[in-house]
Amino acid sequence: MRTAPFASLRSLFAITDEQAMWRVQTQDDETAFAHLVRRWEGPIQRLCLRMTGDLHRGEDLAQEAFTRVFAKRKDYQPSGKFSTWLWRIALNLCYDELRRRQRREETSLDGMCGEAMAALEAFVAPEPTPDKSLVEQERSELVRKALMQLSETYRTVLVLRHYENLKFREIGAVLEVPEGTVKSRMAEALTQMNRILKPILAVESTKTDGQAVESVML
Amino acid sequence: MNHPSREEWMSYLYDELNADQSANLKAHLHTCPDCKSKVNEWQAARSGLDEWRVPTRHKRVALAQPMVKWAAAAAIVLSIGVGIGRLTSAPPDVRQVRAAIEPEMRQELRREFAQLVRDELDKSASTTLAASTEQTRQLLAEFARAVEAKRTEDYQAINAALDKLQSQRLADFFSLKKDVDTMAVLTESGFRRAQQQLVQLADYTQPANSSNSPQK
Repeated sequence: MRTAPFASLRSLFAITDEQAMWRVQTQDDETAFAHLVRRWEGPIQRLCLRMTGDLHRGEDLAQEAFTRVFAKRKDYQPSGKFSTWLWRIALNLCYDELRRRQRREETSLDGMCGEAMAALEAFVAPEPTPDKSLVEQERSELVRKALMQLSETYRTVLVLRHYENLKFREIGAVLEVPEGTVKSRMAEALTQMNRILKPILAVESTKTDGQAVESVML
Repeated sequence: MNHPSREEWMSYLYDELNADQSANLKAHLHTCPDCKSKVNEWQAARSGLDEWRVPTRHKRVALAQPMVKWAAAAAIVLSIGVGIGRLTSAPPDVRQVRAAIEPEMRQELRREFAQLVRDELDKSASTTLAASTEQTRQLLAEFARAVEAKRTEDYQAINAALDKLQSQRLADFFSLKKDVDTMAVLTESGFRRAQQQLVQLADYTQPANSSNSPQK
């Protein structure tokens, strides 16, 4: 909270993303570009991480997204929202990455083993632990794996709406599809997610409860 | 019963409806077990999704340090601005304070970010340059080697061809010489024979003819 007054003061001088991008586009303005990176670095990193399920790759992809923004600055249409354009660039990079990964897995035996191991890990009971944060970590990992089982189409709307809190209308603009389509994809994504998560998380809960009971009995 | 569509339920779950629409859908939930069960499933999925927590660290190696410096600089400028404002005017005028701070803040901000981006660009430019120079050097060396090899090969081929030509020429020369010699010898003997015949012809005498006639 110590930075709150400072932040509000800063907002007095803040320029909009579109203004900043316009400066980057017309004057190669380094300051404006730094402003955009600072403003959007976090959300784009999170998007790439959630889409690829890989923290480090997510960070690299976010860097790549900003490099691409600068490289393609002349392509930006000032009539459009900067964030819509940025989300789209980052998403396309994520799709490319996922496709590359899929090709690697298809061509290498190791990849198949990796997949099999990952699937196995999801069902093999881990060592019991009373540590709450470890339990949370496990559940978090299960959800990550479940999300990675969804197709890109459904994962995209889930990530943008649920995690990044974009409105359905904005997602429609990013993906260039009608708002209604985004909503029906969202409904399907949630349905599929429930189907995958229900048995896994139920097992995890009983396991955790069991541990709790055991520790009480001891 | 008229059930709301899946799309409407999505807007409801993510709070994108106005108050009236939202109230209508909520009322429908109380009376429709089918919709309630569907919405419950979606809600369960939503709670599940919330369990995936991602680390909040940002890869800001290059940007973190200047941010701190920038914040410190801005804080100093800010306190100077506030001090000036307090001292100069009894009721602090926000506009004046802002006017006092804004240019310095902007300048500081611009300088900091410009420096940062320049450093980054310089670094990446020098790395790229070094890499490309090295690569160019390697390519040039390779090219020179290839050219040298090709040249030697051509040189050898030309030498071989020249040698062959030379020996062919010599062979031709000798064969020609032999032919010419043979011809000279033949011509000489031809001349001799002709000479002898001429001499014989010159020595030829008539008496043989006169001695033959009386025998007839």
